[in-house]
Amino acid sequence: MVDFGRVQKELQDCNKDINVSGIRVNPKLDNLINLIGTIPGPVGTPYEGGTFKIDIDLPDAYPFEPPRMKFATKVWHPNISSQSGAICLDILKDQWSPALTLKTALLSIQALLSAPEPDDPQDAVVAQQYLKDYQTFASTARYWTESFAKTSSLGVEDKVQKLVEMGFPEGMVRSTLEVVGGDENLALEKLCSG
Amino acid sequence: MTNPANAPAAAAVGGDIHDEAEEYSEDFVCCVCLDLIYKPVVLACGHISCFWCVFEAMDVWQESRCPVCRHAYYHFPSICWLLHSVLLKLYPKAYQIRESQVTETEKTNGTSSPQFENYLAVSHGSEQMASQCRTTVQGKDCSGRESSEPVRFENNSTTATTGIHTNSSDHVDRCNKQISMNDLLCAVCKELLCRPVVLNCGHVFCEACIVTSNKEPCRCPVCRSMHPNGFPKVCLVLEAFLKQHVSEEYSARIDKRRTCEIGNSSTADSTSVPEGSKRSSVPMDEHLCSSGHKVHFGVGCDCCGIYPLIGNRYKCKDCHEEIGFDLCEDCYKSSSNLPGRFNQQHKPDHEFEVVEPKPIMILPSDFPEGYAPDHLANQTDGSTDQDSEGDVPEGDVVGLVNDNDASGGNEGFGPTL
Repeated sequence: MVDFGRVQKELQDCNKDINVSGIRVNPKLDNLINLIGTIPGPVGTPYEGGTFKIDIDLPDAYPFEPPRMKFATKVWHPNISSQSGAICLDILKDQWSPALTLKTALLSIQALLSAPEPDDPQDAVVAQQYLKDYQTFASTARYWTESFAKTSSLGVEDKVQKLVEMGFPEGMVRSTLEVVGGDENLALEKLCSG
Repeated sequence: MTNPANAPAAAAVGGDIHDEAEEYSEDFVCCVCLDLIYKPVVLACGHISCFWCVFEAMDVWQESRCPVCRHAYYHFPSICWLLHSVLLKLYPKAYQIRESQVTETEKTNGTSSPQFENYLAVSHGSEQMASQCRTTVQGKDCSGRESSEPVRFENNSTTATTGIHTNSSDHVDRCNKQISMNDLLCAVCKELLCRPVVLNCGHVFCEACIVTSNKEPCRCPVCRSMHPNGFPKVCLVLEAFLKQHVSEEYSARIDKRRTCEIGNSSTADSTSVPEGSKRSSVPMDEHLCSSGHKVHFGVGCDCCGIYPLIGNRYKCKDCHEEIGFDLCEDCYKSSSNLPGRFNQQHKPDHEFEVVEPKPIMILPSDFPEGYAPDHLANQTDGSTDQDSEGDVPEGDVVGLVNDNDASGGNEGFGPTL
């Protein structure tokens, strides 16, 4: 049984200093088991300026077991799968401690973005590139940030129009945008896949 | 178990006073449940959590680690009743809300934690208490320990549990929400606690009042129980509280302590502490190796708190609580007659049996089909094993054990025997 009292407190705490940390945790649906975390890309890295969404699922034994986290935003990083978004980070596995919180875990992920560990890779291709050709790595990572992690400044109507112009029916566009929380890239991906 | 009639009343009280519950210091927020610490347990590293939070955060398979600093430990410490009473007096309303919350949870889970009886009354006479304890323990008269404080709070019969809600509010009224100096004394030097350390048994002393030798683990001066985790670290939260709450007296104590040290440098605790902390790093893996492979996963000793229990496991035949009552070999031999850590009604005249560990790590795929029944036939207690996981009250741990059992452990084979 997830300790919902604690999750509630965590959400309150996290959203209190959102202006300082830039880290956000919100329920995905109307339960406290599936959440969406948002972290800003660290300044001075290829991820700067991006906003990264992270899917969070809480296991029954939370906080005595780590939350399951993976990137919902595509990201080019040695320790994050470019395909699935799986994160290679010890505190999300055996080094989890119940004194850690969703916010501290997200902060650690943010720190991971600034300090990749190519010797303990999740994505071997990215790690190879990082080690052998850092310049290409950095520009790919920057390109991915530009393409997938930039929240566009467009309003909802603009997004709808943009997607409708691509040939999707308006009703479907609206409902899909709603499901993915207004992220046009995610919406496009979903529309294309389904 | 709690008298059901009390619970709604407590909940109602909780609801009424909810709005005016005190703001509590960040220091007393449990790092696990992020709520006010309830029934504080202090680990050997000096970090504090709630009784249930510590228990649930403990590792079923190996040494546990402090959620804050990851300091390894094997023993589930007892509740620190001194801190409990401090919190009860500091934040009476917030603490009572927590009490009713936890009581509710315990009721739904069918579990129970040690209850706080007339500890405050006892603590005022700590001097008397300590001397009583010494005499009884020196005489090795364990049954005589009923008069001593550590037994008194744990030896709660149903009367104690049923009266707990009214009791605690009575305390609050009686003590006027004031924390007196008497609540903060070290039972050894009878002075204000100075750099307080909390032992495995939950008793609090000045760091300098704990005498250690390099050969033996230190023992509690009050209840004589062993403190197995090396020399305990200063409980910084409690020290910060002392510094803040009785600042003048505390700084006077520290100064006095310092002059003592200078005058008597040979016995200065500054030298004994590093020795102790060195010892504290002795890995418990040695235990694992020295005692062969008898590790009872998911079972803890109700006396010293070692979890998982290593070596011979003595299971009480007469305790009918689901959680069971178990002792490790050392505690069994020291003829401890403490009641259980989860409020079991264990009595000194109960009988024990030796229970073998459950072969939970073995999967059916690990051995040929014909071999499995033989292997289980070797189990001396296949039938008693059925209830032997009673020591694990919360769902996830039982779930873990059951998962393994379902995939080939003894539980699945039990009925076929």
